[in-house]
Amino acid sequence: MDHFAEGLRCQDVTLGLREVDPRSAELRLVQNTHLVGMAADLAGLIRGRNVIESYEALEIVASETLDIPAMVLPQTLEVLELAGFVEVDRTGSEITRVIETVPIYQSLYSSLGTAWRDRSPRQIEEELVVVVDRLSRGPIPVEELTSDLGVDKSDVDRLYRLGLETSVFQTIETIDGSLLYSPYMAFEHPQAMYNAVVDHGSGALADALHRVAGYQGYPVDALNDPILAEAISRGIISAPAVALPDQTLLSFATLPYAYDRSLTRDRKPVLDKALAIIACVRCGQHFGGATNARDVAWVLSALRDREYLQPHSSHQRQYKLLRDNGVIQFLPDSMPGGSWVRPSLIQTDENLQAIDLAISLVSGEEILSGRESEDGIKGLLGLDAKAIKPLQVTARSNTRSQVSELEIGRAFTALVGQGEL
Amino acid sequence: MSEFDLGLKIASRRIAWNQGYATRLNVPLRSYVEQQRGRPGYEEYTDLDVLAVATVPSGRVVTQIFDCKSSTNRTTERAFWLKGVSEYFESSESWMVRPTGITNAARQLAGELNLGFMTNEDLEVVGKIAERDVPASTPGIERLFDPEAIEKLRAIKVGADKRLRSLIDYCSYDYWVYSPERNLSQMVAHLNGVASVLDAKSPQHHAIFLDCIWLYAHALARASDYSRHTHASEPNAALREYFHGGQVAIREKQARVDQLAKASKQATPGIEPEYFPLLIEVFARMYVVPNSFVTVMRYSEVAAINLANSRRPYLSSALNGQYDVVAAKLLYDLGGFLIGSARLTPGFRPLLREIALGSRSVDATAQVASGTAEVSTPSAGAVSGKHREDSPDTEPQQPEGKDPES
Repeated sequence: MDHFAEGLRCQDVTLGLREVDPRSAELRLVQNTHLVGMAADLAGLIRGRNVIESYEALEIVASETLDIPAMVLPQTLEVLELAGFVEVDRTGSEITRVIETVPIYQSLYSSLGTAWRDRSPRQIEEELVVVVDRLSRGPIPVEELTSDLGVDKSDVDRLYRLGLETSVFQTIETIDGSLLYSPYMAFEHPQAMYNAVVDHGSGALADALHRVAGYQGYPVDALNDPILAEAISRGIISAPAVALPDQTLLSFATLPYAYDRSLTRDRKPVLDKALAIIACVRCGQHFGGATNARDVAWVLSALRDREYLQPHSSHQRQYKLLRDNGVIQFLPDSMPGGSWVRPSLIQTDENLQAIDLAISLVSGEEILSGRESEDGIKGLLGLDAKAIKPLQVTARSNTRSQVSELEIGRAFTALVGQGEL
Repeated sequence: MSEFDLGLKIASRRIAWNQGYATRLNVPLRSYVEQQRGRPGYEEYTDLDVLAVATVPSGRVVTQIFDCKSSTNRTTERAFWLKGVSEYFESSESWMVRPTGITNAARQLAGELNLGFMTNEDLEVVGKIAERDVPASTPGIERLFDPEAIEKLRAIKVGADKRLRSLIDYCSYDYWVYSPERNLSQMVAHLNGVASVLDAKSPQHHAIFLDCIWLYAHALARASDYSRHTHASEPNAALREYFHGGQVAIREKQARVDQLAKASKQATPGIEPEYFPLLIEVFARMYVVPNSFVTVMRYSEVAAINLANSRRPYLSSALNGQYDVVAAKLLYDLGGFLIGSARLTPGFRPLLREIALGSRSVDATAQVASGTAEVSTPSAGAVSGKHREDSPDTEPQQPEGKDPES
């Protein structure tokens, strides 16, 4: 695992920890990872601000939008300071100003991964980060924690409990075994995995999903790939269907890892469009008719940056799904009397975001959107602290879950009289 | 340079400064020629009295040039000369500055050639009209218009250690005749060439270094202009293209390194220098604040002249309430980039930091992080933002290096 992945996964773990009661004893076990993850969040908040003159404003914004307590902010800044991303001005022990130089183009995460290593994380933290990284590429059966990921046998129980307590991973428990999966995997209906695990076993299902996560827009042949076909029919994963040259429909399975939770909630239409785009270009790649598309990322870049794609005999069939979803329009053939069409992107914000997301996914790149604070929040750092006190009050009035899903589950079990007496 | 010329130059500089321009006096132009025995390998074309550079709100780089002469002789011929120089610098405004009126024919010609003309009287009126954000009368800036202070800065360059000659010559002459994009690499190369000579304890060397920052900010402003016109949303791609001199040049360079790698049976190296990723970072930060290029130039101009005159210029107080902390930070970033990429001693960093942003508190962690622990900051710990605002515009310089005037 390289430093880039380590830095990235520290942030993933920290996102999970934001839902945990800050008084929880479990946090102590992952404090290095938590701190580096908070440093990644903080870097995303201050990047591009150059100078933060009001430390109090930073305290408030970091606390209310990133759940970085004011008590821990100096230590978090220290991580960034040692990585060379900030200079902190102090008068005595009091921080007065932060000078920011978080890289814009160079990798933030490689440096933070190095910072995490330099902090000599506990073995349990290293194991947690390895598991989270593996889960970003698909679910795994619990028994593979030791055999494939090298987790120490004596740590498995503790790691399992820690992961669930901190919402870093989730699990499907069956009589045939347990399957771990990441809450950031964009499953359509993860609960539906239960029956699939019962029918096929956790290992076979995990292998099938791993293939999809490694190749977004995986063409699913129901005859040769019954497990995936069933995963699609049960609604576990999304798989838009596109017509082949013989007019039969084929599903192209997708399973993105989306740190940006808004992609599975209020920005779900963007994700849905991105997955439809992937299905269409994968169809062109594998079932292009007269000619196949060789480089799908190039085709998508052309669709985004050019006015239209050159006409092709298969475009109408292949891109119909996108036309029906309002992503593209068909321009008439440029040849006089021609009957082919030229797909042209309808330039809306949502469509542009979807196509960028699709490019990242087909290129096998990590989706970095959502890891940085929005401009509106960054803008608060330029205000006087007094001006943002209302933000603090509003945030305090918001409800925030401080109880993990596992604890809620235990409570319900106890409520219905099924808990240990 | 006659004293009378200098007065006109200073008056012109004052006007340009008041209008928001960064300025530079005496820009000579020369070209390399075939080396012959007993003769230097260059010939001088001409020199320009005052060059002023600014950016308009859209980000475009604009220049004004001033031809300042105490004599009104041969003004008609001079008008044609100024037109040529104006073309060379692609200046948006070109001025003939004379103490008194000129002939009607010369005035008419100036109008037809789209040149401006000013007498002493005009200078005074225009100067008052032009007063703006950071007026030239601000105490910390006054030295820019003080003949003795200007002479001291010039003397530092003329009398600098001979081993610095390659850098001084580059800044004085070659910078202005190289293709603009080459200065992005040439400045780093020239600084690197004298890295072992540049002494972080010498205020004079700091003044020279600040002059280098002025020039580099100017080079980046032109790169930004190119980026805005070609790849506005992808400044990193635009900078790469500009840095190499266009796509054809990129291919040419790549072909050369490929051939070299083939011949030497080594892996193909990249065509970008090692510092290029850092250049992109600092450029991207300035690119989103188009006015920052010129503000950084103006700040380095103020800092250089004060350092040359044995004053330690704290920009926040020198600029009399008009201090822009983001621009000052970008000056620090740009200087930091040049220090790192040219491998200058890290000792240059603390004073630059102190000038731009005030010194850092004495804190072990902070010093380790910046790699500056070996360098003492004379006013460290004593200079919080509040304290500095109450202090005079500039602090007397600690005696650190040999003053060429003494």
